[in-house]
Amino acid sequence: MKMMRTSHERFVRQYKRQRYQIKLWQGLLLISLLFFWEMGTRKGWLNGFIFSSPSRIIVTGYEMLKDGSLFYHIGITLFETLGSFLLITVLSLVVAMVLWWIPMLAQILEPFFVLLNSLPKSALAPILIVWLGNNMKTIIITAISIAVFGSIINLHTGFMEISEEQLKLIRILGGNKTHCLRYIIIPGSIPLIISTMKVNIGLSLVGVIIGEFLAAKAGLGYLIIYGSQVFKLDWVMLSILVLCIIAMALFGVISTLEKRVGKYL
Amino acid sequence: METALSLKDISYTYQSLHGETKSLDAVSFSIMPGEFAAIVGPSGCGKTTLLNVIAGLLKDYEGTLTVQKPIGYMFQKDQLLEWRSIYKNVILGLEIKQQINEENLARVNAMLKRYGLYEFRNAYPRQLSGGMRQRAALVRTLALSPKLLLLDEPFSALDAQTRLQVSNDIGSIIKQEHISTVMVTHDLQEAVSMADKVFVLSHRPGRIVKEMRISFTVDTLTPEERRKERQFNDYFQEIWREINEDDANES
Repeated sequence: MKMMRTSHERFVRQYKRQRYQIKLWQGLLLISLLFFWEMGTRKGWLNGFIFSSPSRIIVTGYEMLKDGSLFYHIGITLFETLGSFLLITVLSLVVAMVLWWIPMLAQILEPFFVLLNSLPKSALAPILIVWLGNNMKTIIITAISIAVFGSIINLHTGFMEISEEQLKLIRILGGNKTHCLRYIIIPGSIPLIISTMKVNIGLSLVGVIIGEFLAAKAGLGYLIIYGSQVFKLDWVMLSILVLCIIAMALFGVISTLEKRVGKYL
Repeated sequence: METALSLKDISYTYQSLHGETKSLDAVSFSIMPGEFAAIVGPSGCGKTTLLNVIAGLLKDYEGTLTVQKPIGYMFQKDQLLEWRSIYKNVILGLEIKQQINEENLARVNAMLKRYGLYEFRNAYPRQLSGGMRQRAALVRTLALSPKLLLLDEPFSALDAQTRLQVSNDIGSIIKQEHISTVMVTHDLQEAVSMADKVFVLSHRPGRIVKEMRISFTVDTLTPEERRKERQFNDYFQEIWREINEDDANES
């Protein structure tokens, strides 16, 4: 027997159908882009030597997987990205806490932070090479310099916006500044800290690639710049593709963390 | 008998770049242990300043203040921390003062049970109604066994109906626990329904213009029962007149 559909069931069906259609169109768009890229190079509309092509990328990727060089470059870039991300997160949390603790210091340093934050940090990279040398230290410091000032400003502003009344509660209950930090400022800022981490993970990757462009012997950024210099565009395209996947994966990890934590807040 | 709280000529002045604002002007009063005092007055008359001075949050006042410690303080909003369970919120003060021991926890649990919060101890504040949240805030305050309780318009964030209910609840709980209390409010009916003494504060700078003892034929009436008594309206009218006279003098 056929059951009558309730309006809610109709709504859910409609919603699901729409979601499915969106996914379908996204898939079709991606496939047709790849198809025309491949066709274009095969038919000679596009120059495969400088545009590469999906099939050439697959072949290159397979070869680099076999000799292990792909994982080597990915490993280097990931290590640098995660390293600088961790350093940025810890450093900006500590500095923001110190600035919250000593308001006068925050007022003194404010214009300097604003200046450093609005400066295009890639301009600093050449100086860093001269100071620190052509090595991984330079790359990590470049990545840190890109994200750390904005991160500090964000966190400190968030700390200062925590309600005065909640801090008063801690003082009424007999607590001091350490208690305020431990019971109010830090737990009350968890959503802010995670959203700042979300921005930082993306910026770390940008910083690491810029750093690798200028000072590296390995890594995906190095592969891109070296590949373009020796006209191995297959390397360049492959590296960009891998970067897309890494960026999405890192962002996904933090988003999952955000959802997990969100359940408890 | 020793007073639970005594203020003698307490004055307080706020400083800013544009000048000084005198908020309290020689306020004197005292309350006995177990007494419930309400302070009423127009908004901006320095009621909250007065509580902050008593609580020791504002230290640069003039005059003499004698107060029994520890002091408990309840806010307009309950200030429960959203990221802690009700139980964790309630023991926050004990945690900060490092007084978590069996005796105190047993007392907290007994209070949670008595005030209908025990089943919700693992819930988070947002899962509770406004009234329950305010009760949890009260248990958090009482967990430190205060000798003196300060209430800063503790019901003003609630809607009218919940407000009556919660003020009845909280008023009864405070009576049961025999704690000396100072409540600041702009709701005259609330003051008459809960207090043993009402002080009327003038416009800024706040001075006490009237002190009134509230007593009903039966001593143990709950706030709700008081509202039904005939005398209730008489007290209300008297305080109302006092405030209006002060207003008239002002203009």
